[in-house]
Amino acid sequence: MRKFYPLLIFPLAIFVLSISSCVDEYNGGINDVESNLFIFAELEAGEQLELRVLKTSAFGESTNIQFPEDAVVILDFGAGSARILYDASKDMYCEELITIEENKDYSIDVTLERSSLDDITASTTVPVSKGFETAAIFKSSNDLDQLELNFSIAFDDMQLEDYYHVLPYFYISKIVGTDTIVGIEKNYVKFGSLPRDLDNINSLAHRDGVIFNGSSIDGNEIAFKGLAGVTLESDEVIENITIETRTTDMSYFHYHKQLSKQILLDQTNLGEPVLVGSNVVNGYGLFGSFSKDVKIMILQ
Amino acid sequence: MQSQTRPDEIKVTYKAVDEKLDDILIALSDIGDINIAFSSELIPVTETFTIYALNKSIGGILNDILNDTSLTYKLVGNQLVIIKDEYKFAPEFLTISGKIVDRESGEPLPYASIYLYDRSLGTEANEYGFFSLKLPNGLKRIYATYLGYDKSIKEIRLVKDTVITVGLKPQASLNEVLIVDRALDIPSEKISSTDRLPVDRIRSIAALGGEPDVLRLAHLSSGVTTGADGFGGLNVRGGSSDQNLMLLDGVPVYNTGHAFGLFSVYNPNIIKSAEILKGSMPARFGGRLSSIMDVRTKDGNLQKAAGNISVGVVALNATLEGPISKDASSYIVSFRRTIVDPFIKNITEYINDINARTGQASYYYYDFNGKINLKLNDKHRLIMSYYRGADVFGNNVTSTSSQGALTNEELKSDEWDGGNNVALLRLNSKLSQNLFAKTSVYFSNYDYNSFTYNRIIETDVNENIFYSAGLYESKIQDFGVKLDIDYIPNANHIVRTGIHAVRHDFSPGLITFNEGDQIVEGRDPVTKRIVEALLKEPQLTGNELSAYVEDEININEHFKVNVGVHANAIQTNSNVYTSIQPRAGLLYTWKKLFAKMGYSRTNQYLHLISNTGLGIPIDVWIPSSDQLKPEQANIYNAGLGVNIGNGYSLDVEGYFKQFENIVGIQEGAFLDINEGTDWQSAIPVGSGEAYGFEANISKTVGQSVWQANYTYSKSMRTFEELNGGRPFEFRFNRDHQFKFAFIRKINSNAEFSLNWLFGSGNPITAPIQLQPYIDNKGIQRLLPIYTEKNNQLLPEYHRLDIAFSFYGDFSWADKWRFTLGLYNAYNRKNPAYIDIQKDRDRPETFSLYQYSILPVLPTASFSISF
Repeated sequence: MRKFYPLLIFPLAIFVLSISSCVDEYNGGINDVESNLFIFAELEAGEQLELRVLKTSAFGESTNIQFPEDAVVILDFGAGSARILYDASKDMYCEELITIEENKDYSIDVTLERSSLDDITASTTVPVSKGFETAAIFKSSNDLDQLELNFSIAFDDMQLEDYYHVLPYFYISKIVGTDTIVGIEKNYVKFGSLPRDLDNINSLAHRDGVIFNGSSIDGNEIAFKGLAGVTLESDEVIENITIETRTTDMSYFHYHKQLSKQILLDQTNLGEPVLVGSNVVNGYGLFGSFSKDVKIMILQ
Repeated sequence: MQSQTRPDEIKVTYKAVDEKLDDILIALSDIGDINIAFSSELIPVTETFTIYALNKSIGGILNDILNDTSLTYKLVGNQLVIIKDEYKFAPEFLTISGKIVDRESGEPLPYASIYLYDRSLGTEANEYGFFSLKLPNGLKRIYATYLGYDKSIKEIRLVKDTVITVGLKPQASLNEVLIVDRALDIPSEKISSTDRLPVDRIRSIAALGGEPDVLRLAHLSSGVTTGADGFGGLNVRGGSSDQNLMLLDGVPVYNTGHAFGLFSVYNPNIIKSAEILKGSMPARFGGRLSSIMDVRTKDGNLQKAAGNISVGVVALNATLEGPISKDASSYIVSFRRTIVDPFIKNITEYINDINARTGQASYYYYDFNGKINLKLNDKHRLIMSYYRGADVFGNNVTSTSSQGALTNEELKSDEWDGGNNVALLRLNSKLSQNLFAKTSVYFSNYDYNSFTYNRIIETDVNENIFYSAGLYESKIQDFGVKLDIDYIPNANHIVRTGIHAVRHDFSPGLITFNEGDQIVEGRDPVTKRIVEALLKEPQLTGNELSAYVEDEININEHFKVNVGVHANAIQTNSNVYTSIQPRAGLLYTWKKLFAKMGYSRTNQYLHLISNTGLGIPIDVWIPSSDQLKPEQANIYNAGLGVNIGNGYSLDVEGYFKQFENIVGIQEGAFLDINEGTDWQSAIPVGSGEAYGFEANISKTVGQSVWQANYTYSKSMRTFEELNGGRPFEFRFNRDHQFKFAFIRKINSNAEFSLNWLFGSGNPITAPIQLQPYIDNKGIQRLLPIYTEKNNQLLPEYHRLDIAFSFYGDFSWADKWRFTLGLYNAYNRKNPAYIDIQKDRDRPETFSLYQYSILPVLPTASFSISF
């Protein structure tokens, strides 16, 4: 029997190797890449500054989202600059004394005092609000579960490179006798079934509303459909729709458009990786801005 | 010593008026005192001759007299002999034509070489083994060769146009194994950069799953890359896989891979020849930018009924062939099917079971080839062939898990099936000794659909249902008519021309849903039927017309040129695209050296949008349309080589390519391809360029034969919409590749083979970090950060395959062969892709993991021919 042992080793080794794991950790130098600062700010005209400062997670680092509290955040608002302080209650850097203004440049410089991470800078110009000129909203179905809303919106001045984020929402009113009591919960219209038409109207995977590039609409009326996404009781009605139109800067538009594509891909794993990009120098995230126009439309 | 005067040089004075020839010959013998021998049966008995000769040589007098007869004289020893001269009234140049065939089966041998023995003139047979040579009259020694066959030498007295059949004997063993056609021991360099694949030795090398594969032979050629283990298709000299025209008996085949490309659809039992054209193209080829893979199937044994049965680890293969009418008409049928269904079912059931899941997977593929080869008459042959092959896969897995009050029910279902149908009716006509025509009507269809469905039901106090469902369909149908004509005025000149019309019908469709789309109620599962009802595939058509003319001329013994033009046009909905494509090639040979260069402009009206990641394989073929312009390329190549002798040869070649209007894949999830979706405008269109250098060295004669090659290659792409408009490296580029193939004859019944492939890593798009984002519920999540497309290189790919082949004869069968080997012998974990996962040791962190697919695998196959 003994002389057969060497003969058995070969097929046995093959079998063991064949079923051995075919997964190994990949490095390729990526594990040497260090974290960067990540900021997130959507400056809203007329509002105060709020800015999140975070860190990206390098591979092999903890994925618990880190909020550095020791950042030196300097905001340059043209007429001067100010250090923005950390508000622990909001996990954000806030400044109540500075109100964001339309058509004004803002830039930011963020440094971590006790860290080797690169300083980051970013800037934005707050766009002037260009709300839509006319709009009409129709119910195309009376199915209470699938209340479909058809939007038809016309903008002025669409030849310029404008970017928009339109967020329609509504409140559900309850009819009590002859009175109508308006609810307090804001319900955003759902756009999940929008065609994922990347250059015209984009529904967002991570945000409510739709975004689009005004120049691609080219002055034409735009139309899109949404779903109320709520089940109305027999004594409930939707009387009107509020349309919040954000005129955004380019960074806001590109960041959310790309991020949405990335999130959708992450859900389906059917497509190609997305380069989200960032307007933050030496870091990641968004330092964008918008100005807002709000109109209430009667549901026809 | 006084030199003796030749009898025919002796000068005499002689006069004859109306004398018979025999009398004249006798008189000349007497006057010259020489012996003139003749047979009275040869010379004319009634004809008389008149001659006046003053101090003229007897040879001159005989020439004058015999000038108008079929006679001549010959000096034999010291006498002159009057003989019949059969070449005297033959035309100076005559045509020798015919077929070069397998001596045992009668199968024509495409592209076999036929030469005069002194190699001063020669040609190559066409794809059906026909050849035509125009030669000076006289006694000729003809020399024919073909890869994997013994040489044949014939002596022919060429006094009239002659039709011959040259039978070559298949090499029984490795006396002269030939790896590629450059191995022929007479220079037979082609103008174009073409590798003839050694299909006769396909069973000698280690084959994955014991399934010999012609595409894996192509992987051994220089300038050819693939992803890991064959995934990612064939990429030739920086071109993408859709830029290869994959032919089966001259008909395009759209899907050439089984099991995502692990195996090819080309059944090894039925393949007669295979070539891959990698560089500039002669004008007769068109329709793709980068390369032509031309696979020809056997016509069937014209001599006797024969068959082959082979079984490997993966599949069973049976072939039957024979004459319908001996030496005239034949048939061949072959069927191959995987036999691993029970194994797949049991192993997946077992794996699911140990992972607390239930379910199983099923998979099989099959191929059927059939061909009838009818000789209508001496000039016409009709060929009817049909191929059907398909893959069928299904996987259903369910699992339930609990964590505290939370229960998770998960359902995962994938199914896909798809296959090709290729039908061909072809009339081969030999219109004259030097004019050949083939008229073809064909149909090629590829029908594929895949459905995937994932559902998670989270139950605690409430029940939350999340699902994603996707259906992908692709239907392609080509109906074409072709006429090709070869005119061979002489051995130094071939003119080819032809016309081709094809109608493309394509209907791709892709649709995805999730719970937000509310296509089902509550727990109702999403079925393929539900999704199918919601998918309205766009119908796309294109009518394509092409024509070519090509002239190949041996200018002198050193220079050979091939010039031509290929023109084509396609009609889309509202556009007609046209293209004129000049082609040129030059070959210079001097002794054992050769140099070549070529240029071609190519275009293609078909575009492939294909995903490179995980998930359902998506291959969306679409014709050029109003939005998508035809893809175009310029190809330049130049090379040098030497046939060193003793079977050694060495050559180097460089190339440069430019691509225009090539399509890419948009970043992010695939767009729905559905009626009413403007999906075509979202397809990125860009440009690219590729350049590289190849060196080949081979030893092709002897007990040990080998081939080694090195390739340096760069291939870049630029799309305005991708990578921020910056150029990026082509996904399947490998900067450096080295390949080595070796076969050694051990004894008269055994061979050993070894292949080693090395390639630097191909690029992938890998994330470098994770970034946070806030979703619409205010929850912070993480997403990978990608900064550049194809920014990382996978580790190097290398693999060693070894095999031992044993062969012999049974008393009841012609031949048997048993091959035993190892694929990936040293178990290199070649990564196919990378993925982000929670670190196995530190779950609070994420890491990148690389997945390899094929570890070391034993291979075995046994075949018998009878």
